[in-house]
Amino acid sequence: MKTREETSRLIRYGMTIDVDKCTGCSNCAVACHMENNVPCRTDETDKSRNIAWMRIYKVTNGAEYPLTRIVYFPRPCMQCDHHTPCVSVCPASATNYDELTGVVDQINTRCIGCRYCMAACPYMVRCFNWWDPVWVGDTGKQLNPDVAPRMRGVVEKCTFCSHRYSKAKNKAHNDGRGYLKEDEYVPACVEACPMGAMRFGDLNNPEHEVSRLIKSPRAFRLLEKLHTEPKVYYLSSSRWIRDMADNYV
Amino acid sequence: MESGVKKLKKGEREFAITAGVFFVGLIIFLLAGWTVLPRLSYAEKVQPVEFRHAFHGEDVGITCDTCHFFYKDGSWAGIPKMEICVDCHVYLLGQSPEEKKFVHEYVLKNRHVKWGLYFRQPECVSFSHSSHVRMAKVACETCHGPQGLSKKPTEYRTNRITKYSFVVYGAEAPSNNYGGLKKEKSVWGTIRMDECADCHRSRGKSTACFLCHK
Repeated sequence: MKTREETSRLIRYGMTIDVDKCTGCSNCAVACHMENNVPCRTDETDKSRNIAWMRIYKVTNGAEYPLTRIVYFPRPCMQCDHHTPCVSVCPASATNYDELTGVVDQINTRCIGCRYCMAACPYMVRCFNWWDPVWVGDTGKQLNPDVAPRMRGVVEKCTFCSHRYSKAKNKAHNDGRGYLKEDEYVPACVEACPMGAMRFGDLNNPEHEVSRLIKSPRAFRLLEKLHTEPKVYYLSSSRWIRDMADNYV
Repeated sequence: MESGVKKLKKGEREFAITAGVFFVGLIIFLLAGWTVLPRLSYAEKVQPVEFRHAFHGEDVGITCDTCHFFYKDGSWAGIPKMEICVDCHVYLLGQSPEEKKFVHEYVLKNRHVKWGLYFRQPECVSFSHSSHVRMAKVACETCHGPQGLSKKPTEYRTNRITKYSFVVYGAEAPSNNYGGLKKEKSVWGTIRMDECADCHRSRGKSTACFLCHK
């Protein structure tokens, strides 16, 4: 076991999403699809079989008009910090928790497709490739060369755009720096948000904005009662939204 | 016939024949496995132009980073493009027939040389040169082998299935284990995951998957 002091010195990349600012425009989801070569089919109506690393959940307070309130929860991988459920069940070590950055990654070439992790994940983050990806027409030309496309029979998930981390580190190392500045490594979804609702950075670094935001009384996480310590925090001033997050979503 | 070879019973004779056939077959297949199979599984290839690292480095005195350099964002230039070669080889500089071929066949005809790439990684791998060379100060030779010593045209062997390759040098270059070659040659294997992981472990570096896999 690590002491609290040791843990706090490590880099822990995390995200804050201000759901009061989020309009549910889905820009983050589109950017994620584009960035990570996420395959899509011509018919995406079957949501149990489609693949999305970033899903937008629409939640209402259930009240009658004019008291109805709607909130959108963009949901990337929560990057659980404690007893990461998917990592602890994977029989092939295809997913692991990186001690240095706190990123939970997925090695698709090692995945055997047992989908145990999908059953274990409390946030339904993981998606299974039921078919080989098909890039219709010119869509193949927009593929990101930094991310390898997956084949059928493997599970995939949000990696906090770990290839962007590699790229940022590449540049930093070239400049002779062993650390990254706050804005150097940002996932595609955060970059794409037109409302500025999402922030990204090192939760343990007091100079990063996110480390201040997660201490605010507006901050909460989804299903905190499971104690998986997700590193994606949501922010809201509304009490009913904060209360709802711990029950379902 | 009491003093001669003991007469075998029918069952014993059958057993002896079966065992004999088995061992002869075993030896034949072992020999085939040692000599024929490596040749079958590896395709021998040579570079289209006889480029000599040792000549450019030692005799002409060019430093490595003239042709192999970093871009400003930290990405690696890799195999030099034709423009870099043409910076010097606009016209014939020497007497070598290979240079003549290079200038006449490629430079003047504005064609690119299809260099054999024997250090290519699969598409699920991303490798950062700047992390290894600039930060960790790993020498090029650690992974790439004695490229600078290639006095002869570099030949290489590509595994027909995995596409991983071995570079074949003359005897003057050190070797990193691979059998089935003549004594006057030595080889340097390309970078496989085991080798990467071993080095990371021995230096106490992270072996997290996403560091190299994408």
